[in-house]
Amino acid sequence: MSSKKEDQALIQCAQKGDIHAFARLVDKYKGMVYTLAYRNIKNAALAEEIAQDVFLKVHQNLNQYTAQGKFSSWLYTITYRKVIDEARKKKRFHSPITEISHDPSTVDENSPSALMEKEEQGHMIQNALLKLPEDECTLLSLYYFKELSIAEIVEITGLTKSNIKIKLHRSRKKLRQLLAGYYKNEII
Amino acid sequence: MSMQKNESAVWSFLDGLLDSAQSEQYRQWLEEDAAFMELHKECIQIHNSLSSIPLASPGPAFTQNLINQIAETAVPVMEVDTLKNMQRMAQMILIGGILLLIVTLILSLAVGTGSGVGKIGSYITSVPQVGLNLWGFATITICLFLFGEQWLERRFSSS
Repeated sequence: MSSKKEDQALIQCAQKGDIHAFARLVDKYKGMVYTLAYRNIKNAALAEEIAQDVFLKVHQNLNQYTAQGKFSSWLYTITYRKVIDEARKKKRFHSPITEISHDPSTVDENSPSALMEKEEQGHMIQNALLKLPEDECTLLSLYYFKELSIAEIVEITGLTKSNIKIKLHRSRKKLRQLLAGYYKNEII
Repeated sequence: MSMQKNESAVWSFLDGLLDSAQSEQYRQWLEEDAAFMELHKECIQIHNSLSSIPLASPGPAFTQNLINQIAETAVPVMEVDTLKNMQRMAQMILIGGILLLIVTLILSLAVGTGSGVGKIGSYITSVPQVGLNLWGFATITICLFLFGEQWLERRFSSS
């Protein structure tokens, strides 16, 4: 069953009150929702709280969801709005950056050395990502983590296509500057 | 459209945003310019690394906590269904009662104009008179129905 059809079946069950179907949807999307929140808020506890609020809102409004659009786009739109809202509040009350855990299911089972190398690269990139402005970090997360198209990001964020392209270019340039030397050495 | 030989061109190439002429020019730059080739390789590394970063994950009890929270706040689906069914049943009883009342009133009017076996016949002959009365009854019935429905809805929604 395709992801969209699977989501559709789960949503229909959840709309009828099947809490287990909703739990499966949560399990499927919690990583992305939490990651988007964390990349913006940079605080693990607060990011988890935001993710909880997002799923509660999704559950409350599940009957308003129509099958015309993708569930993931609808979910990320709710997440994006919540994250932007919280980021505004956070600017008023600065909270420190805290460490996060990683989903072991998303790590490939390669050789130990390849895993270590990947882990190191992952850490480098993540540290660099956390140094980017919140909006640029969110766009990169949407573009790379879920491989959403620019048109889908337009739908989620409400930004224009050209604005997104510019922000993506700008954020990756910054990322390259932050990672200066690391990848150059690897290529040589 | 002309394209500048810079980092933006590399990202546009990696995003698949270049047309065929631009892609051809881009390949030419790669062949001719070693520094540009290096920049291209560096961007590819970042591009690939961004795609393969593992997602962060919330605590292991995340889903369970959420489900508990939903269960605490939500009204059970069965309860809602039972309430709706009761409401429908009450509405049907009300409508049925009103219809019965109308039929009884119509027949009693018809009966009042005749006697014995001729009662039915006199009912037929008195149709214009009944028709006039029927408008009054219909109006009263509709008012009663609307009032009754609203009353039932208020009663059930508040309980």
